[in-house]
Amino acid sequence: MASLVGDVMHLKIGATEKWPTDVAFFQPYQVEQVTLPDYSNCLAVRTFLSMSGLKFDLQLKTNAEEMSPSGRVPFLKMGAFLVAEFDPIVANVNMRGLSISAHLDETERSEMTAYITMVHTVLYNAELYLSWIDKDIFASTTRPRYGSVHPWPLSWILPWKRQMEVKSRLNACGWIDKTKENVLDEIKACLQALSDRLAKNTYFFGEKPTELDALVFGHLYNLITVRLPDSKLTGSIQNYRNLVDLCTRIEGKFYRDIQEN
Amino acid sequence: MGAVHAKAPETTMESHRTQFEGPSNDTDPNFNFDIRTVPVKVDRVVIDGVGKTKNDILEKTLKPVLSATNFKEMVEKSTQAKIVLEKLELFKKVDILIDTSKGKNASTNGYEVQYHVEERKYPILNVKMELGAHSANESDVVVRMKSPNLFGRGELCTLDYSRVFKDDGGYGFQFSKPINGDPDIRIGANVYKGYAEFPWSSFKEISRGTALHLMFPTILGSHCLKWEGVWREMRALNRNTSFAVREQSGHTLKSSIQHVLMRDRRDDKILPTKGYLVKLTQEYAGLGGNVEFVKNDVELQYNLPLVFDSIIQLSLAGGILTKIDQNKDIKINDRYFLGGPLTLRGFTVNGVGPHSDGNALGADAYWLSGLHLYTPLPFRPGKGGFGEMFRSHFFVTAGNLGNVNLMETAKENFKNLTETFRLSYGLGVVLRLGGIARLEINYVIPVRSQNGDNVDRGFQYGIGISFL
Amino acid sequence: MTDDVLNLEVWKGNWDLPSVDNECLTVWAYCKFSGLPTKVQKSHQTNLFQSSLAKHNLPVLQHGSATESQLGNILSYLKNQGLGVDKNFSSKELADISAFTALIEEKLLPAYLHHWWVDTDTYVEITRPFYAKASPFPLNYFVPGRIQRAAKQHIYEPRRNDVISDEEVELLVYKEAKECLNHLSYRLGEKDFFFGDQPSSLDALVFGYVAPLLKAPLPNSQLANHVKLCLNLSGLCNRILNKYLPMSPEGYAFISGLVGVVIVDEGDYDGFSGVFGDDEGGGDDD
Repeated sequence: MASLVGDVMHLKIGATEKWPTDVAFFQPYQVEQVTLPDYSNCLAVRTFLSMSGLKFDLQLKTNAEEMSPSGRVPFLKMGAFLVAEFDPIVANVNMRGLSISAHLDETERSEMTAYITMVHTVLYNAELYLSWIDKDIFASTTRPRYGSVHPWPLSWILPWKRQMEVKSRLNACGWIDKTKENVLDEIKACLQALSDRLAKNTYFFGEKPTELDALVFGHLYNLITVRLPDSKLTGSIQNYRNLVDLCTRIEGKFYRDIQEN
Repeated sequence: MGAVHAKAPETTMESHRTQFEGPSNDTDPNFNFDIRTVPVKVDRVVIDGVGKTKNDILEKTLKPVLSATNFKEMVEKSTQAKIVLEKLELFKKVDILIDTSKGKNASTNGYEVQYHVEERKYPILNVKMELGAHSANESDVVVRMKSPNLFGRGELCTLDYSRVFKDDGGYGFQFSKPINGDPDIRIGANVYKGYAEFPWSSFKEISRGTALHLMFPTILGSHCLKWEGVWREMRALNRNTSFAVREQSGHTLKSSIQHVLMRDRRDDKILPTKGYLVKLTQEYAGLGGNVEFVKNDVELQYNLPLVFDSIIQLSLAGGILTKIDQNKDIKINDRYFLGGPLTLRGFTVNGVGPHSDGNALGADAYWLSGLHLYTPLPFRPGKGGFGEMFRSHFFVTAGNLGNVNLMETAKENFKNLTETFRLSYGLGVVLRLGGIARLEINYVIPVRSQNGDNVDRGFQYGIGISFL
Repeated sequence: MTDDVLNLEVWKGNWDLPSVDNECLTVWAYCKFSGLPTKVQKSHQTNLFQSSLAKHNLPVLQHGSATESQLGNILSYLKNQGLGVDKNFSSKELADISAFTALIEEKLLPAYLHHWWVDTDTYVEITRPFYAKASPFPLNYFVPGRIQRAAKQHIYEPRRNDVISDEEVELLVYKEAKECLNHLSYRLGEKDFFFGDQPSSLDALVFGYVAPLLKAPLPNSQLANHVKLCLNLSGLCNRILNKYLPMSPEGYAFISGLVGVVIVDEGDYDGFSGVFGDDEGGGDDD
């Protein structure tokens, strides 16, 4: 997930600068182009920035993925610097002293990092699997969306090329051999863990939202609202009441900000 | 009368010289005159050494020889047939032998024209280091397999594989074929994949494409009509690539039709001493794909020989790129760039015009002109041999690169392009490299430049296949 | 009764460790925590050959008619069978175990794999000789290379993009691994085990990674040096070694009829493990 371009960036920027006024947020077209895993990440970053009260200018670009320094969306342009993907963006905000999780102690912060990593690996890989490996979803949703901004025959070649990349990534982390049932089980296990951890709290770490809440919202809101060919997944998410409530809470409090941005 | 060997002349038809060999020919000065007007009848044309080459194409090429009525005509027609055979690249070697015809069917004044040919048994394989300091495609090693006359009718087939310094290489496959055995009318097709880096603009590009072309002559010159479909993937070259370039990254599919008219009356492509060149190019992109533009280019050159083997050369080039859809900008990989040691001297390669963070952005229009005075090297070392590969030259180059603003009139645009022009002059040495490229070492003084240009004053050297 | 015995096949040990492989150590320690009757067999020729063909690595667990390989599969098998100590923990604690397991796999594993299998010094001096010796002929020529290729793919593939070089990927994975060790150290704090005085699969997992880094004579190991700085992690590792996998040479048991060295290791049988030098383990393989 992490990208070194972002990493190199914070060394350059230093922690003294406050949030610049000309920050631009780049992502693919939301309604017709973006794929499920990419949109989860975009939504997570936008939610995180809204929670942090940081302003940005949303820019929709058909070639956002190719523009991104890491080859993945979303990415931020802050003056001359570019930072891509969730972890480096969060790290950049923290470097500027604008962290929303500053009130956590070391143990809690370690736990938060562990949960963030779990969401990244399980939910992101599962979304990649569902949208690129599952034949039905790939053919009915992912391929037309990903190819929509390109003329024929690129509208076929590029989704196929991206599918190869996703396969290679999932192969490296051992997900390619899983069946769809295995993947749904992984999602359930991850949601179960999140649900158990959240228990009856307002947010994962008390009364104030953290980057973990933003990330979970990004993935869950997307999984709940997306129209996939089979609704098994959406149904199983509804079983985790406290997670659904968390999404509703974050939507009510921050979604207007997200939309305004 | 003994056998007469007519050796094929080595020059072209215009300067036709025929050399005769034979015991009695040189003794009688009138004999030459006589023999040229001697009526002949070509009884037979024999071609020896043919394997896979098809008869129909040979018959068509050699038939005119049979119609010769006098000796001069016979020699000319057989030589012309030889030139056609060579242009078609049917054989590795073609020799002509003319003999009186013998046997009982021989007519009086009967001759027999014999062609001794050798076909290529194997494809030609070569490995070379490709020069490309000026062109964008800086390949390191190119392996080329060339198979002329593949199916016996002059079909040319080549297969290239190139490996650039970085890991991404390219390949190409070309096929072309003369139509009706006419070497000047060819139809062809190719597919390729190429990788190129554009350091002046800090981007890289992988292109995969296919093209069809038709070449034919008219009284105006040679024409080439081409359709090309190419998928280009452009990416920022590194982390320091300016955002103005980075935001153009992505995939484009260009489907374009191009027409080139070339009239080349120069005696040499690299260091001509006389003649002129006219080259007009029109390209329309937008037959499918997502790139739309119209591009018009012109290139003119005139060479005027002076005393002491000096030559004045005047060159002029220009181009204009027009949008079709006003809302769609033309991307950097279709735009014009200007500057470099072989074009607008005194500036770095493509260092003229709009820049963003040191990356050249290119523009919609350009013009470039050059005035050269070529002379042999001082004191003419290696005259007639090695020294002929070198020339010293004095030059003045001027040009401009800019965007056409549609809100202004054509007159204002023209004024913009002429008012902010760049100018440089200098002197140096030119070296011919093979028949395709040249190397120049110059001392250049830029006189006029604009803000943002990368000026390169002083010694400048460059190698390349395109120059002005 | 034999059906209840867990048959575990692991890579053999070295440097005062019962096994040199992190996954083998983890599974073994977890079985010991749980007090399950376990029969451990070290790099058995026939099984290794089979498992190599099936593209599987050690450890391999055989229980009744079921055979599971790879750490994740073995742990979830035990969980599904209702075996193992993890069932004693609360749902929140289990959630933490899942989260930290993901953290370790994502952030520590790449650097660990890089250190053992890609770092030239360690690979040439330690890893390759060891695995070549532990594998029978002719597998000794293939096994190290095969694992190395898989390791490289695991490290570089997910991080690959246009602008990142392999050197930068290395810097990144080591940085993340050190941060991960810090997070584990913060989470462990002053406690004996991650969730109090009873060990869990998370303790077994951390033990599997930390023990080889502490015990093996690794040349210039930034990872090992960092582990040594996390005092509570090395404390945890030694606690597990002493209490659950103590070294006692008399604990060897040779069972005739099997190629290779086999230890019978009943769960309720205390102090039962072995130290294997290269000579002892490799002797039978030639």
